[in-house]
Amino acid sequence: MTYKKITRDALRLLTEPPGKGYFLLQAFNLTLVALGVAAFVHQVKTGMGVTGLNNPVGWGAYITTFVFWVGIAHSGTLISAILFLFRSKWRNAVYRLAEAMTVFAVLTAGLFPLIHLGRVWKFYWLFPFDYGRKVWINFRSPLVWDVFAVTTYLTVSSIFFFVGMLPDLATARDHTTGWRKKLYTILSLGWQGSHKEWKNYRQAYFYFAAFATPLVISVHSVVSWDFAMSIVPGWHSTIFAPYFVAGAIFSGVAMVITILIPLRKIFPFLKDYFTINHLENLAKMMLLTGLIVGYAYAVEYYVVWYSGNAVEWEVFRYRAFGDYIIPFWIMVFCNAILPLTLFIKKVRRSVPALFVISLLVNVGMWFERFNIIVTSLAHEYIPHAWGLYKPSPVEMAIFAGSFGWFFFLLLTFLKLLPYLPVAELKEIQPLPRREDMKEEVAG
Amino acid sequence: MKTFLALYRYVDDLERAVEALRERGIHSLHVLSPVPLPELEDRLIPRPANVRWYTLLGAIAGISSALALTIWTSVSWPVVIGGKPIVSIPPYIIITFELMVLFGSIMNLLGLFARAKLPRRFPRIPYHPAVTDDRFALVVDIPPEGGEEIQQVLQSTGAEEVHHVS
Repeated sequence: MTYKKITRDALRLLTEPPGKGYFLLQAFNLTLVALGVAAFVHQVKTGMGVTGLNNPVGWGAYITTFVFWVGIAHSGTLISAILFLFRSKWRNAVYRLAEAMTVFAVLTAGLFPLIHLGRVWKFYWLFPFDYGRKVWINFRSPLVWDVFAVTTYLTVSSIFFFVGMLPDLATARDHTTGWRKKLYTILSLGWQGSHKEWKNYRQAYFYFAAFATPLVISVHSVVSWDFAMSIVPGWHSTIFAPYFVAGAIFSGVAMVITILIPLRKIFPFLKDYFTINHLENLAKMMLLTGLIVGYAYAVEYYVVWYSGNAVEWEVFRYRAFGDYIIPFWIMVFCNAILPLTLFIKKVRRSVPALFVISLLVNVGMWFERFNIIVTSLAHEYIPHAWGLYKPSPVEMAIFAGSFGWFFFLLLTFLKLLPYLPVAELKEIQPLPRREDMKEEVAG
Repeated sequence: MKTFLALYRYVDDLERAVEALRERGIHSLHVLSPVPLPELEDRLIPRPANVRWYTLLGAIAGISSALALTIWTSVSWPVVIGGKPIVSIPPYIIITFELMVLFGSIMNLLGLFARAKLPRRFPRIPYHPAVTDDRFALVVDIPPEGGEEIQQVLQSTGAEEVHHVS
């Protein structure tokens, strides 16, 4: 693959006018967003009673969806930072898209704690802000850790995303015209690709990756401690952090596959970049993390059984055979059983199969969080305080709106910013050398 | 001061040109490339880049400000929560870690900007848009007299185009 081809293909979606389908999809996304916004306005005006939340189940679909989107956000940094440190070359083609997905997923996730707040206009109380009475936030609370972890993650992954794009924005600046050229001139900050720039850039990039790697692990660990630090049966467990991190990467990788496959279908030229080998590598990561998740399910049950704690055991019996039997078995099937088919090479290399599996994995992962959150709260210590929860239409509308918002951002990104990492794709090609050319001619 | 910009198609040609010019005692060279060229960069700038000191400074600032914030706010209004000490270090470590990463990353970005002189409105060195596509450029600054020899070196090493920029 020549440098010229990479440059040309990377600018293709940016410069070609979008088709009818693109506008239809965006209109659909915006309709979903409007639906979600309307539902949220209704909730603010009427009160939290419009949700299915109740006593004892005070956390429901909003927190589930929050954890779901934060989880989706994890594979981007895994691919861009961790695989970078491992010098894994196949990451170069897919990392930009995965990183964009990360930033947009965090932007989506960040909305949910706010939506979940009864009085959203007091959201700034989450920050260490002295509001008159000198009562500060409680730094011993996992919810405050979460605020710090998620805002740090949003900031750092956005910076990482932008810095990675810098040389490619310069490419876009040099090879486009009109308003785009103006936009990329501003965004590329005057990047020239001089050896001094590259030298500093390489070092800075390495440190970004070195920071992002432990950060990504810390973020979902902190999210898991929102649960594990409390003494609710079914939550109070030390395996939560690794279990959540594996689950997050599992769902995130599945989302990358879900997005790559239709993209390859709609824009066949992308098949040169997102090859079947990339899909297979992603599928292998999905298999590995899926096995960890499946193992965590089993260990969770084993620990509870071995502890001999009657309350814990009752919650776990209730999860599998109680009122939430359907979500539980959807979760087990999609996350622990279905990914086992990825052991078969044919399945890993079959595009339709991967698409179905990755979609179902995300369904399963949403239900996993739902099971953890809702069943534990619904079935705590005192039988007389047991209850039930079902998401209300308002919650479902906001859930749908979050998908509209995420895909709206993603589709806008595809038409506006370099979706292929130009410089990094060129980097994995052999450097053009006259000597090699001679050999080719002679040979 | 005279400045030449030579465009190369092949990296080994460019490397030979750099060597030839350095042998002639010309050290005001800039290489522009679509991809990083680690070996050449290290030859032109032998010392490691200095972005890392900014990063370190940011990380230390993050650690100290997080410890200061958590400990000071706890002491300023001491409320015992869950029977834990007023200054509970283990949970504060989490805040400390997050702020270390946050400040370290921000300073890393600012360090990159400072060392690479970004953002800038006007190009610092003569530029050719082909370097973000598939060409490598060599920019040479020389004293006003004796440009022919340099031009010849550039051409004999395989430059496709040599521009006399100024």
